[in-house]
Amino acid sequence: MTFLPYAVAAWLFVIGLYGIVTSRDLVHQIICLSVVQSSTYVLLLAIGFRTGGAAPIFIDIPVGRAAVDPVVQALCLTDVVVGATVSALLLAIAVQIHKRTGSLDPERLRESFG
Amino acid sequence: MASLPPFPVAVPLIVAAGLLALNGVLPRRVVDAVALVTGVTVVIVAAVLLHQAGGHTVITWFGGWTPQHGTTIGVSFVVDQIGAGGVVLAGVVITVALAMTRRTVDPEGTLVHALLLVVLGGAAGFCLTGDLFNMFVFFELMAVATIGLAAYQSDDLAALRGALNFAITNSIGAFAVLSGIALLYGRTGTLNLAQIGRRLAASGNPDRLVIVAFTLILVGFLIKAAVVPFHFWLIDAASSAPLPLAMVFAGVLDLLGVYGVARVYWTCFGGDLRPHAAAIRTVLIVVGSVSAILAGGLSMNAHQPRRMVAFVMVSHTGILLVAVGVLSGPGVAAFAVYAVGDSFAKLALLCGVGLLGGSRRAGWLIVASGVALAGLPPLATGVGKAAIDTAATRAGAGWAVPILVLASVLTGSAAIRVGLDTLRSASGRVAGGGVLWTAGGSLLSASLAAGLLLPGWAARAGQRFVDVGRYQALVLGGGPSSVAVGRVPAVVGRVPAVVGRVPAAGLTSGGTVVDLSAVAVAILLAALPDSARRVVAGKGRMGATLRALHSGSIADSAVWVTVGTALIGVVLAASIR
Repeated sequence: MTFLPYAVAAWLFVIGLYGIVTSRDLVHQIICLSVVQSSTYVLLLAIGFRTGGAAPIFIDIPVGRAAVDPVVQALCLTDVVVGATVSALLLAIAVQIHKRTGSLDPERLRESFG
Repeated sequence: MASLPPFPVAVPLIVAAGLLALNGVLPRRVVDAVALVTGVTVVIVAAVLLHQAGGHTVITWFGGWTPQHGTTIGVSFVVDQIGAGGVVLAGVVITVALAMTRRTVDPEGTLVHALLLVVLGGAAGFCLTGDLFNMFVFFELMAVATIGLAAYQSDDLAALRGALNFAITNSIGAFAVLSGIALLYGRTGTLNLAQIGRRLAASGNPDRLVIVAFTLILVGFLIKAAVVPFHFWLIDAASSAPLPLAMVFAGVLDLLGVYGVARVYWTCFGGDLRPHAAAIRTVLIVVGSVSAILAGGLSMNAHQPRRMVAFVMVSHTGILLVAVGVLSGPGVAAFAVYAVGDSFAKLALLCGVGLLGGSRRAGWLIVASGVALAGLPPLATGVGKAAIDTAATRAGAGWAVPILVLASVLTGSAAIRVGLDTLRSASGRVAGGGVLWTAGGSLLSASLAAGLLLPGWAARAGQRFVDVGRYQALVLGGGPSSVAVGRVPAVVGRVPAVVGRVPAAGLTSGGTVVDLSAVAVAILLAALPDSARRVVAGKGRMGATLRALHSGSIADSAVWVTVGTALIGVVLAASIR
């Protein structure tokens, strides 16, 4: 049991947020959102991890052998799907904004409305 | 009839897929009809579920994976009255929104219909599920569909900007919820709400991890409910969105965010954090009151009608959060009554705003909605608000009552003011507004009916909603008062006979007087000349600063999310430790 993965997860969440706040480019901002999301992957996998555990495919490992938790891996997979959908939508919106304004700078987008 | 609960989720999703597959093949009239019939069907099925849940909580284990020896191995839908009622409400809202699509957005194509039906499926799943991770997935399903709707008018830069802010802020909220869920899973080894509750309670006093998990989940749902200081995205998104989507925000998403807080608090944390209920109550009521009053003031100050409506939404979501934050059965009951009346009033207001452009009928509709928002007594808003006031006073949070009353005065008068302006400048009839006018009128009538019929029912439903011991016993098996089922002992032995003499979540004579005077003040305030209103609405430097904050920057939104999370987390950690 190590605290490293949890520290990494917290770090990714915070540094991603920092990126979202300071970003001057929409695509960069969207990638920062993905960084925030990566923290949930790390957290989920860390929670299900067992030292020396096998992959949770129970066909060819002996009964009673320790395995990592398959539930968190399923959650992680769902999370990936959600994240991919949101990123795709966001990038599509960014493309539309670039088409309309010729800029990807969130601050200029804001100024154009006052 | 155990097969009924998945129906309100599956049917809209299947129909949505079908409509997309046949995009361009079906004539528009058929698409309209199919979507409307689906919406109405979901409402009817949910009403049947609601009726069944009145007798006993309906539980469905998918694939027949029932709990073994008190340990869950499958995923369940657990339908109680509040959950089924949520589906009925979401069904009505989406059906109204579907009926509006022809008049308000893009008269061709089936995309809007499909997306609205996906939102309905997600909302139904969120209300009915008994599984924490399911709640996350269904909320994300709703969010993704609404992002699509928000960006639908892709030639409108304001709409795109709103969609972007909405998507980014909401995703941060989603990841907060997911991190909280992961921590809870790590602690309890389960995702079932009832089982999490039982295991947390069995593990003794809550430690820091439980508090961090609670904070993350709470903040995630509050971001989605859009209360201050997590509301910036909604102002942008709701004021630039097409009308049906604004209705979804007003009548589905905001409410369900608050519902999520209530559901998770009671089922998961209700046992474990009960000794610290006072601290949690204070946090929730303070956040709710601040939202109510701040957004109420800003609604009087807003430049355009649609922005005004967006602030009304934030303000009234704050009032709903206070109802839930009281952390009692009567609080949940008041939440239910007010949620119904409030979403109908906001929808009617949106119908009126959608009719804007000279019609006198629009003016009258907006004035009537404003009076409903201010809380005219037999309407569900008035009844519900009186019930919230009573519940808050009884829970020792009487200081919040004047704030809530003032907030509804401000929002009501902001709406009435827009209505009066419309009446003054009205130039006759506008063609084609019949649907909006009919819908608005029916919604206000429905609010009246709800105010008369709901209180007694809601009181019993609320009492049952907060009975954690009963919920856990029903889901996990083992009599409510039996002690050990499997390894984990049942926590709460106390199972009161629910249906006994629960006082209705209705009006007292004092509540009626307060409500009536609030409405009177709201009308007076709206009728005041601009110069006098300026004093009340604070159009000075503070008003300008507050308005400048709402200029739609994603960075600002993210900063406030961080600040709000830190504040709530620190307060909870300090008071719970």
